[in-house]
Amino acid sequence: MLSWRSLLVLLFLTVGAVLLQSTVLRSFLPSYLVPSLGVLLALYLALNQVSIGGALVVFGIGVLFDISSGLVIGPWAAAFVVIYGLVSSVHQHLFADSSLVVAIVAGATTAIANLVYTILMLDVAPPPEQVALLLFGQAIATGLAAPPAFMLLERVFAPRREYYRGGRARAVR
Amino acid sequence: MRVSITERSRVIAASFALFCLSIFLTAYTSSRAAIAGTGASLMGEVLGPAQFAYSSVTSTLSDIWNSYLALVDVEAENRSLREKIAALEAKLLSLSELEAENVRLARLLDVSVEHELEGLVARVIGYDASEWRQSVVIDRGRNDGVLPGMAVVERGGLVGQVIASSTGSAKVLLVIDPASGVDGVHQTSRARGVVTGDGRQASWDFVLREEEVQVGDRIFTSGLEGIFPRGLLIGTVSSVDERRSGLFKSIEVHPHVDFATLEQVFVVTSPAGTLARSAVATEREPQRRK
Repeated sequence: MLSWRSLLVLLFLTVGAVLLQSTVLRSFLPSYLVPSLGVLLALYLALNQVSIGGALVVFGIGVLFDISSGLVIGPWAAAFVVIYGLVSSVHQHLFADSSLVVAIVAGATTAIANLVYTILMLDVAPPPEQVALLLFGQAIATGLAAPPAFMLLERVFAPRREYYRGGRARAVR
Repeated sequence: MRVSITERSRVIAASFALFCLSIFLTAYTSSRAAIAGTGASLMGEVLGPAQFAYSSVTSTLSDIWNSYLALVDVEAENRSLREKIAALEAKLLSLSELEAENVRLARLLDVSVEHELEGLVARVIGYDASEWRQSVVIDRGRNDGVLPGMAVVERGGLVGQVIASSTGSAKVLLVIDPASGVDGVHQTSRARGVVTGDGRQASWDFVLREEEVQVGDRIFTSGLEGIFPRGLLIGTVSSVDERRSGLFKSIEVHPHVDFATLEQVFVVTSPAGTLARSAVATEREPQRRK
């Protein structure tokens, strides 16, 4: 169950992700090499927060990304919910402590999310060669960014999770 | 984390329901631009100050670099610029004569003399969070009179239109975004079509096969869609493909504005029907097509 504090932290992280993607990262990297931070948030929740509440939060993250674009509300929400549903259904078979596994899953889910977005926005999609460049370029960039991003998210969320589960953190106390 | 099969089934069912809701939202908001625009305005209130702060820091650093560290060859450049100024001053004298003559002829022909576009200069402070959309954020918003639907230009070339504005910033949909559509008119033949973006370039669609269009021809805004002033340069024709069957030609347009280096833009606050000065010469050029 997600606490109010976790929800606030996630809201802050989502707004921060939109800001990073729209300003900081875009001034250093070409658009097709900017990692999809929204996908990383959705993926982290799919691996660590499998619940209806988690699905709702991922949907909310997608809506915030849609709102920031100012065109249509829904496609990113749909894309993030799809990867949440897919990964949460197989998360017990994934060894999420391995950086390599996290990188591969992040790359694959980014490609899936971008594909869902393209299908939903087919009328205003770029030409196929640009779609391919964005699909694979961003999948690789997100895959590379996933292990450090997950370490950061672990630092933000893990201590509380361990505490509530009565795990390591309580033992330390 | 261990999750029971029942819980997992519930999560999958919830994900599917939320996916369906997202599809419905996409369909609902795609025909109601105001909803997404309002949302983007609210988001702009939150993100605008941070984007402005980041942009100010980077532009200050860039200014320091340009002013103090990159002074190599400045003397030679200075000399070259002085020579250019002298040449341009001479040219300006002859142009002012031509302008006066133009005004006289316009009066003779009973054509009203066009006024210059009114507006304000804005700085680009951010981009779209999604790499799939071509839009920028500028540092002027509702407080400065920037409203959705206003045209944005740079050095006489069309940049795009404002799609959402918050108090201190606004979002501009670039003309190269696939969701953008501008009524374009040919420089001389006055052939018309719709210029749509493809992410990097643009294409000029719905131009009839019998229209005479060549590589290098310039395409201007017609102003007929009621958003953009007439006579703004959209771009030049970079390729014409007549092999495709059908009623229309396949024409690629190279935008006049370099979107990769876009830093400052001009938001047009004049009414949409205004005629841009660059159109004056175009309107009076002789018709190429008989």
